[in-house]
Parts: sequence; C-alpha cells; structure tokens
Amino acid sequence: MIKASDVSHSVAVHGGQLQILKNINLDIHKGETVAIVGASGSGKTTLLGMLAGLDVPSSGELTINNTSISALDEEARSTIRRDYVAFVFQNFQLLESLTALENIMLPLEVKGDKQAEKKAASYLERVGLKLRAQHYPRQLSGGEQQRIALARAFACEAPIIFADEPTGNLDAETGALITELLFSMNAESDTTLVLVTHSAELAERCQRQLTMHAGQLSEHCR
Amino acid sequence: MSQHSRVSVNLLLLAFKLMLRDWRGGGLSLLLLSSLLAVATVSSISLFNSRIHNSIYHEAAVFMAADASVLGSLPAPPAWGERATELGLRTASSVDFSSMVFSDTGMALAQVKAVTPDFPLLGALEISQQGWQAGKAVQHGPAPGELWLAPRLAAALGVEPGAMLAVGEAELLFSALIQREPDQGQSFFGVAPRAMMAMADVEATEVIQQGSRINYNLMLAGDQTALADLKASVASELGPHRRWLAADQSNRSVSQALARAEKFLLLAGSLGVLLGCAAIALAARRYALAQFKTVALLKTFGLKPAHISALFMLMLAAVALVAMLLGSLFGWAMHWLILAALKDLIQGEAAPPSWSAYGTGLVTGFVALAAFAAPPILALRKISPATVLNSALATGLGNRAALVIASLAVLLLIYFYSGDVQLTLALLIAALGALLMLWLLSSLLIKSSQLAAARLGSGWRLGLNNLQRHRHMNATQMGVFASLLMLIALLFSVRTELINKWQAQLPERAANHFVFNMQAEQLPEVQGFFDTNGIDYSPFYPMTRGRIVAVNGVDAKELVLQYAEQKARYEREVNLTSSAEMGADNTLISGRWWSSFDDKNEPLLISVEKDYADGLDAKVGDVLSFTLAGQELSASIASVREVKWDSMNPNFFVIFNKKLGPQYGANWLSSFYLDKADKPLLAQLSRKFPTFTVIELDQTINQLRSIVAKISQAIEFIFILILLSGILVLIASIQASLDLRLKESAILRSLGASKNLLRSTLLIEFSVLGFCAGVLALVGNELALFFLQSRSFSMAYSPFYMLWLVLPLAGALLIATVGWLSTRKVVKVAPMSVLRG
Repeated sequence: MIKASDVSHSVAVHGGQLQILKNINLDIHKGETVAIVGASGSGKTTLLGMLAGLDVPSSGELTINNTSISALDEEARSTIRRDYVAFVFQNFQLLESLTALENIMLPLEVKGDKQAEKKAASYLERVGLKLRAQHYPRQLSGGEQQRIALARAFACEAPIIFADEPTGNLDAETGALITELLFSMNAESDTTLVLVTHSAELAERCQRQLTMHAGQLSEHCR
Repeated sequence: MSQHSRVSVNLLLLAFKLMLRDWRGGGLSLLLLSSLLAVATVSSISLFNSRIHNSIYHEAAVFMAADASVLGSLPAPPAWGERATELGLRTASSVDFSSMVFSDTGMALAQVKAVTPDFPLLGALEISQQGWQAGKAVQHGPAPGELWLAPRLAAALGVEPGAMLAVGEAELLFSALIQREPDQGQSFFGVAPRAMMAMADVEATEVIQQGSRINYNLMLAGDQTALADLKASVASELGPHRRWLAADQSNRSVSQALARAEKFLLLAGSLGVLLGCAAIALAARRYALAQFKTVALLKTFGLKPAHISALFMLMLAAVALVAMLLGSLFGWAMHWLILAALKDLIQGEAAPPSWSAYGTGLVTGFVALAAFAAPPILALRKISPATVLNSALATGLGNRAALVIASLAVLLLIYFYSGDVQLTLALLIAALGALLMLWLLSSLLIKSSQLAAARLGSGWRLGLNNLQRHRHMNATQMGVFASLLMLIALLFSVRTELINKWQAQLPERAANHFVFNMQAEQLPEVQGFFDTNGIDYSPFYPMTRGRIVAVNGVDAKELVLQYAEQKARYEREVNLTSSAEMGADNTLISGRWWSSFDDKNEPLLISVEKDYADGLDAKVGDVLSFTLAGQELSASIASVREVKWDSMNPNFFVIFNKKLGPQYGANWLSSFYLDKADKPLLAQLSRKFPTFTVIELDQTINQLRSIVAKISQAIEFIFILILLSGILVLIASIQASLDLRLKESAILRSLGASKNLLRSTLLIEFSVLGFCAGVLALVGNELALFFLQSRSFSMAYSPFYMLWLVLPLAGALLIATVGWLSTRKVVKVAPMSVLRG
C-alpha cells in the first residue's frame, strides 16, 4: 500500500544542511497497523508527513497504491491525498469557527459529497458526541475534540489513516479512551493505520513497531 | 454535468459555506468592516467634496449671473443663441454702455446695462424703494419703460422712485433702486454708477451709434456638458473681440480661492483614499495570516492549490460586492449627515453632487481590494500542507511583486481621485522620503534603545527590549503610524496655512470700495472727508492710462503674439502709477526696488508685474516703451514683482520711480472700507465730488467671504473625518499584533511579572514607537509640504516649526493612548486561558 525506497531528507539550517531522514526503506501493506516510535527530534513526524504526501523528500521514492508520489507536483499529490489519505493530529486541528458537525463535514464537502451531513452525523454518533453537534471546539474538552478529529478522519472513508501523536495532548485516561476508539474504528473500516507515538501502550496495539533513531528506521520484531 | 462544472459548483458551495462560517466566527468581519469603511469614507468625502465644489461653483456662477458668458465689443451672432437653446441651455443678453442720465434737477454719468427679460439666469437682483436698504429679491430686470438706479446714482441725480428720467432720447420711469446686482463685480475700472433698463428700450434711446463703446454679453446657464459643447463649437469664431468666460474665471480673487479650496479638498480626499487602502491592507493581511491552519488542513483533505485560490478569491469577491454596495450606501448616508451638521453654515441647499462622485468610492474599493487584499489571499495557495504537522514550515505572505503592484495602485487611485499630477507626485516623494528615513531611523533607534535599556528600570528594559525583539513587526507598525501621523499633519499644515492665508487677505475691515478720478489738488479735501467720518483708507496712488508699444525697440505686438496667453491685456491701455514704496502685497522676484523716488538725477525706471513681463518676454534691464496721452515714454525695468491680486488693495502692472507729470493726464485713486450702515456717506461723497468714480466692491467681498467660510468649514469637517479614519486604521494595526502580545503577556505573568510591570512595558513600547513615528512623520510632512505649497497651492514654502516639537510628542501620546486602549486586555486576561489556546 505504502512504500518508501531509499528516502532521505535534509533541510537548510544556519551553517549548512541538517539531515532528518537517512535512507529510509519501508513497505506497509493494506490493512496493517504500524507504529513509528522514537525520541523527540528523531524525524518521526517528518517521515509521517512524507509518507502521507504532505511533503516531498530530498531523495528517494515514495509510492501510495503503486503511484509514485515523490515525483508528483502539489496539484497531483493533493488528488492522492483526497482519494487515499486521512489524518488525526496531535493538536486536533479543528477549525474554531466550525461546529463539531461542520468540522466532520468539511473533508466530505471538499470532495463534493452530497451526503456529507448525513455521514458526518453518523460518525459523530459513532464517537458518542451526537449531542455536541452544534458545539464549537472551544466548548469541548481535549478528549472530545480528539474524538471529533477521529470522526472526521474516518468519515473520509480513506484507505489509509495517518495519526501524529493522537494521544500526545491527552491525559492517560482520555488517551486510553481515544486509543480504544481509534483501533475499533480502524477495525470496522478495515483501514491501514500508520501512527507516530511516544506511548508504549499505543505502540503495543499495532501489528508492527518501527523505531526512528537519528533519521534511520529499524523494525522491532515481535 | 461535466467534471469541470461539478468542481466549479462544488467550489462555489464550499466557498459560500466557509464564508458563512467564517463570518459567524468573526474572521471575515474585520476585512468586510475595513472594506466597507474604506468605501464609505471615500464615498462620503467624494460626495461631500462634489457638493461643496458644485455649491461654490454655483455661487461663483451666481456671482456672474450665469454659468458662462460670451463677452465682447461685438454682439454674439444670433446663431450662437439658437445653438445654445438647441443644447438645452438657457440664455439672456445684456448690453453695457456709458451714458448721461438726466433728471429735472441734474445729470450724471451712468454705466447703463440693458437686459433681456431672462436676466439674471442665476442669482437674483435686490431692489428697494429707498437707498441702501434691504431689498426684495427679483429674478428679472426692469420692465420696458422703466429704469432702475444704483442708490449712489439716484443720490447724485437728487431723485426718488417715481421720477421720470431721460437716457438719450428715451424717457423712462425711475421705478426702483438696485441694492444688489449678481454680476456687479465683473468690470473693475472705468465703471460709473449703475442704471438698468430693458433691452427693448435701447433703440429708443438712440445712444448706441456707430463707433460707440459697447460691451455685449451673451449669458448661458445649464448643463456643463452642453456648455462645453457650445464652447467647442464657437471657440474658433470668437476672434479678438469676444471671449468666453466660465464661472470660475469671472473674478480673479474668487478663482484663486476656488482653485486652492479644490486642491485642498482633493488632497483630503486623496488622504482618505490612502487611509482606506491602509485599512484594507492591514485587515486583509490579518485575515490571510489567520487562514494558514485552514488552508493547510484543506490541502490535507485534498484541495488543490488552484482550488484554494479560487475558493478564497470567491470569498473575497463576495466581500468586495457587499463592501462596495453597502459602503456606497453608508457613504451616501454619511454625507447627508455631514450636510445636516453643516446646514447652518452652508446657506441654502447644497448643489447636487456630480455623477462621478457616486462612483469614486466604488472604484476605490475595487482597486484597493484588488491591489491590497488579493495578493496576501492569493499567496495562501503556497502554504505547505505539512504545516499542519510543523507550523515552523509556514512561510510568510511577503511578495515583492505584490508590493510594487500595491504601490502603483495607490498612485493610480490618488491620481484618479485628484486628477493632479503634482499632488500625486508630492505624496509619492513624501512617502519615499519617509520610507528611507524609516529604514535608517528604525535600525538606529532600536539599537540605541537596546544600549540605553541596560541602564533603566525593568519596565523600560522590557519595553525597549520588546522593540528590539519585534523589530520587524515594529518597523512595519512604525511605518504605518508614521504614515498616519504624516497624513494627518499634512492635512493640518495645509488647512491651517490656507485658512490663515484667506483670513489674512480678507481681514474684517478690508477695503471694500475704490475711488478714482481724483485730482491732486482735491486730495487734502478727500483725506479730510475720510478722517472726519472715521473711514479707513489706503494710501493715494497716482494713475494714468497707457499702452505698451515696444520692448527694446521691438514692436510689442510681435512679442505678444509669441509669448502672451492673455493677448487682450496688451492691446488695451493699462493703469500705470508711480510710487516710492512697493506695496505690502507685492513680492520682489528679480532686480531691485529703487532707493530714491522722483530723483531727477536717476534714470526713469519701472517695476513690472511678473505675468505682464512674461507676456512680453521682458526681464530686468529691458526697456519698455508706452504711449500715454498720445506721447511715448520709455523706461528700463528695474525689478519684476509678484502681486497678490486678491488682496483688495490697489495694485498695478507697471510702477514708475518718478511722478508722471500733468501732461500725461494722471489722476489719483485710493481704496477705503465702508460699513453697510455708513453707505449713505457715498451719497455725500458723490455730491461733494461729483467727478469721482466709486467702485463698490462690498458685494464681491461678501461673496468671497461666504465662499471662504464654506470652504473653511468643509475643510474642518473633512479633517475630522480623516482623523477618525486614521485612528481606526491605527487601531486595526495595533490589533494585528494583539495575539502575539497576549501570548507574551501570559508567559510573563506566569513567570511572576506584575500587571503594573506589563502595563508600563506596553506604554513605554507604544510611546517610543509613537515618538519615532512622529519623527518620521515630520520628515515626510516637510517634504510633502514643500512640494504641495510651492507647486499645487501656489504658496511660498513655509516650514511648520510648531510641528517639529508637537509631532513626535503627539505621536508618542496618541500611539500610547490608542495602543493602550486597544491592548489593555493583555494584562487582564487570565494567563491560563491564553496558554491553553
């Protein structure tokens, strides 16, 4: 489903170049749940962004569903994202001016889905927040906001979910709730899940664990 | 439906939904409000300016009793009147000639004006049954068989209404006294008191014979376009004996006042345009910056960059449409409020605005939104979707090309509004000068404040360190503040200078009557008359009539044909005088004034007025030859002067350094002030000195004062409007930095900083910013003043020294006050709620 071949990435900093990713090779199959763990600054989030087509590496090749995305321009990559990818973010990334229901509807409206409201309402109910449909993010707790974010990601019905530290801003109890919800919805949707996390509990729930260290990726065998 | 159409419909729907949601959340409201205010302000100023312009020009036209006239020593062909009627213009005619008027007891020379029934086309005559009393307004001349007289003429003839008088061979009934005549100020020298009759009676007088000196006037009133059409069609046939006179040219004093007022109002309007653009630019930038997260998120959902641009441009188009429509409506309502507020000062109905005034706000709004709002919004397409994961990847909205486009748009708008290249260039030069100083000054001041901070208390240290830390934001804000202060200072400087100048040239007891045809031996008696009756009068000047014939031996006609714009001036006689002193309202431009007067040992010299000299291409040292009373007289030019013709004092094109002997037929003139209550003294003067000619200019001066009062009030009001707009822009600019200040304040308070410390930090930061902005504004103001005063307003450049001290201090006070009021919640909001987001 997702393949990375000799992917490297560096950025210009004062005094030279900083290499963030070094020769990453990775193959993720359909339906797998993969956790990428590592210390802060190891390049996990950068790799996630590359795999999702949010950015292009300095070298190497990335493919999603056999389509090479590293060679595509932003216009073409946006099409790939629209058709294959959904996100859950550490900071929830809900739009403050939209209600809970409208936040879930947004990616569906972008795709021109005429059933956007109906689908959004159904996913809102799935995450247990039916009664908070007309509430704004500032009126919701962190856990509730992340549940809305989960509903938004799964409502897209994309084959791949990328999650960046989905429990990073939550307390342990809420984090556990979100973890449960994430994996149950993943199982229901049969999506491929790639997540970046510091949480050992979250990593344990995944079928595969990959460790990022100093820009290099290694797999933890179970 | 095709794929492309489906995408377009989707985008439209998405844009509509996002716009409604954004509006609900307050994101779009600042941009809409700024755009709306910009359009409303420019519309209201434009409509108000147009009304004032039209009212003042209407008043000038009333002054002339018509919108335009064809004057000359030959009558206008009947075809011109027919053509005027075809174009929808109203016409009236008059014929002016000198004639004796006889009563049973006496006779007097009169300037007779015969008018057609439609006279006056504009304004009204005031007639009464008693001398120098308030009369009733009428919009017609005397009926056939009747004669109306100026009170002075009636007094000279010793008659009252009801008497039969003779003009030439015609016997006419003296039926009324003329208290006010709309176009009285048209002719200046050589005017005897007025007698008015019907055109139908002229033939019966048999006064007009071949060779008689007659002035014909075809008066026209109506639509300006129709007047322009008529002028174009008759221009080539005017010849040397006729001229076209428009309302704003009818009186030099009025036209100069009008021209300056117009330029000031245009300047004020242009500054309104600039402020509108600044407000839109700030609001658009703030809106765009707030969309970073939204755009990155939309891109993660798969929205293409081109669609991002289309989405936000659709929203901008909707904002523009609403702003332009509602803004024009509000602008229209605001200008009515302004008129209502000034109704006691603008006598009568203000003239309707021109159609173009309605469109000015629309055009300004459209261009400002396109040039200032569109670029940062279009730049949103470049935001990387990876920003959702790492906000450090977000790039700014800076775009050099956009800056150039915006600058050109501003220049275009100002030129479109003012139609004045010099004014536009003056503002451009001022802006460039200020920008250069900004770059120099901001680096210098911020660095030096950093050095000073180490020696000062914690509030000063924090405040000054903030200046250094946020140097880019502060440099931008300093530029915005400086621009605003400069614009306001410029308006204030020019307004004050204009009003002071007008008031100086029209002091309360400025001379409102001229008297001439006095003989030298009569002067002591005249002086005694003035002194006895407590009349203020100017010095006596000798005067003779002469015509230029040659310059350095070259026929003057050749030079006039080549150089002169007003050729008629050189074809007829002008008034010549001699004087020991140069008048207070004369300025020497070249050469020197003579050190001795009427000195037999000195050669005959002259001082010549600048325009008169230019028309002959004459300069200091050239010899001008005149013919006076049939004799030729030559003199060398010792100096060239600039004359303030609108000072209401006697002034001359040519002044000699020696007395002109009796062989040249000199007589004397003076000017004096007469209160309305003292007008009957004119009758005494006329009886005592029946050969004197008196010109009554009080109506002209009152007219001018009325125009100046209206303009001054309009200027004051617009100044306040611009000031308010400026403060709104100031607030918007400060608000733009509010988020950053909130966060910093929350962090400082969580670290233990007290509210007092934060308060003093903010005040110090804004005060220093304001002081620096004031210094910058000073530089820009003086640059702009130099160009505007000398080029646009035809005034000498005079630095506004008071502002050198006031502007930096006022800048510090204003910015500190507005800044504090706009950001005081920074010390009030709970730190936790900010840090939590």
